Amino acid sequence: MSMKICKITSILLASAFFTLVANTAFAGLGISPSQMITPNLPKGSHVERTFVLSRSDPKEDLCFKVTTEGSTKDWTTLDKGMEFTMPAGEQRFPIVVIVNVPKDIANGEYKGGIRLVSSSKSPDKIGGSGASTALSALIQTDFTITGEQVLEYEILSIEIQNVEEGFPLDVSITIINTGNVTARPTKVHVEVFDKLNKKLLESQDVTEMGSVEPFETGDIAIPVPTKLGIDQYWARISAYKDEALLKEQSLVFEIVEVGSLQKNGNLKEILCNKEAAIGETVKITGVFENTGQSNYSAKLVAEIYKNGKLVKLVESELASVNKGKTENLTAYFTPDVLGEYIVKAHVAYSGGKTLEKEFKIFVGNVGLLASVGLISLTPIVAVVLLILIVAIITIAVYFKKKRTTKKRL
Amino acid sequence: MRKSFSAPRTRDTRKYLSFINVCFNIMKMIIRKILAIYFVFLFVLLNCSLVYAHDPPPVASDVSINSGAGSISLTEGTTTNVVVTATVTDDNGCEDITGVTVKFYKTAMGAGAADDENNHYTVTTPTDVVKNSCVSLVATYTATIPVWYYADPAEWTTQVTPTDGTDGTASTDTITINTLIALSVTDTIDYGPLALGADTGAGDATTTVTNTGNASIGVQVDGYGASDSDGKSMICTFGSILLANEKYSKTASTAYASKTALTDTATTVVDFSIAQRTDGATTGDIYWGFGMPANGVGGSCTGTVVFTPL
Repeated sequence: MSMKICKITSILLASAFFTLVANTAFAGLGISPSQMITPNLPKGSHVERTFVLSRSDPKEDLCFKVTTEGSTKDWTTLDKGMEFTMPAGEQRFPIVVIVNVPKDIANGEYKGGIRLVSSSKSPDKIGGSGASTALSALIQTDFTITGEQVLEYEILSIEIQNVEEGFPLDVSITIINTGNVTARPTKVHVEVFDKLNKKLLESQDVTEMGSVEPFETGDIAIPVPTKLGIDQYWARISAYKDEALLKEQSLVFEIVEVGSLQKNGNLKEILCNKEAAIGETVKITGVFENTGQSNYSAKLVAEIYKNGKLVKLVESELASVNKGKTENLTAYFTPDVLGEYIVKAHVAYSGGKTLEKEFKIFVGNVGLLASVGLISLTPIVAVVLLILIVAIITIAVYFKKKRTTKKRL
Repeated sequence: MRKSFSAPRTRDTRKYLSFINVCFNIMKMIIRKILAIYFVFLFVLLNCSLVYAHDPPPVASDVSINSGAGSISLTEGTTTNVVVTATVTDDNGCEDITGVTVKFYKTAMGAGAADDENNHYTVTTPTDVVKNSCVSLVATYTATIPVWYYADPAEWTTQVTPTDGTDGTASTDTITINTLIALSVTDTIDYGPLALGADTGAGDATTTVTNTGNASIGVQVDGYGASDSDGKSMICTFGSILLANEKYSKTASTAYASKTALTDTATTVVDFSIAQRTDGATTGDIYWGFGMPANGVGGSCTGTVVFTPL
């Protein structure tokens, strides 16, 4: 009888709890693009590509767990790590897939994927027990490893900015380098016409310029000397690969009075390890934002002091940073003496200089660094050590007092 | 007789000739006047046409989509603003420009195609195309185009055409719209009341999957109880239920036993695809069933089914 009652109770309980409240709400998730197909990857190469996770209804935080799969699983990571949160209110969330191809891999095609699984709504929000749905996005990867050198690029845009009188014309070319070697046009031909675009005033060929790294999209700054005065002009800019015309654009620009173009730049942050060992190369990266009205050439300048004396001056390579863009400028420093270094860094750009940022680098030998690092990373350990020292001193004082009392007795 | 007769005839002839001469002179004067008027008129006309010829229509240049970005990634289930900037010059001064029309279309469709949210958009001044500046001959414009999530993934062109009463010279730029793989799905699966040892039979708990991207999609499903790869479909207050107890089918009213068991790893739902949206929303249904174990579980049970578009 009691068994029967128990069974009926169980059935009733299960029936009661195993009922979901029907809910017509929908949740959405998307990924764009959805594939990372990269042919012509050399062994040991490094590629980064941005994808956009999106959702139309960003009413709450969405947590993601990332797993990699297939034959590319060990090469691929995300800039956000293997777990991250897409904050409430954000419809679009860019993520960067980082690919590091092993140096000892055989040539061939390798396929895999990166799966980004979002967490489902917590059951208490559903209003009962049962199955909830969760969404996931899959980035399919397809890499072809090759030993061949491939020069392949596309000119995305050609621009010319307004410049101040006496300065070279500020031409820039944006290139998508899909090959596996650095890329740049063979020649850029610039013709400048009057403001009615009728009379040719100047004409020049430029063959010396920067380049864009493999698998990257980048700008090449092309300064073109000019004797033109203040006025509006037309420029016809043609980019060539050998004799083939890749892209040509007619653009309007203005030469303005000296001092009338706002030049602003912002050194947003410095990325650098604060601890290093002797002989270890320290990477100092300045994140520079061009907030002015023209394109700049910019470089990071870092003064390194020890005991108040300037011991080293390191600089990044000159990079072009277009109007409104942000670039990482990197300089390298290899300390050869133990101790604390003070680094004062700024970015120098066309006619301007950012505010200075200051930070310290502690240089020790590897063993010392490990222990110092441990202590600095775990303040709790430091507190425990302090308590231990205080306890030892207290005990020592106690025993000393006891001995003194015994002697008196 | 002859003399008396011939004398008056000679006088008359002279008079007549003189009259003719006067008439001729008057005619000559009139013709000269007419010619003068004609030449003056012609001169004015020529000048007018010359002036007209010196009023060329405005010219667009320096067209850029999203500040020269290489591609556009759309946003799931909604619109994404595409920003087009352009310079327009007018030899009579930029104040002479009366309007700018911006078309954004799938290159293969051509500028002349009718507007269609999948492949062709048109915006104009002053609502969606805004004049930013006007200095001397040069004006700059910015157009904002809300592009729907189902816009075709392909190369797209923007064409900027200015006007000062007469359509000016257009300029173009191109960009790629990336593939957006996306879906939205009903956020719970409702099995209704279910006793221990019972299953849902041919009854279905339906999840409606909507394609919220710009390409045809398939769907993968997998499940877990509390955490990924735990092999459970539900974790209950006491006990748990195996993954195989939760089943699905793309066909409605399939008997529970004939449905496909959910697995730990994402598995593609066979022969299930949802087309890219063209007219209305495109959806597909997946039908779910559940089998309760005969014993060993009780209380509240929860689990998760993961949907992945591909």
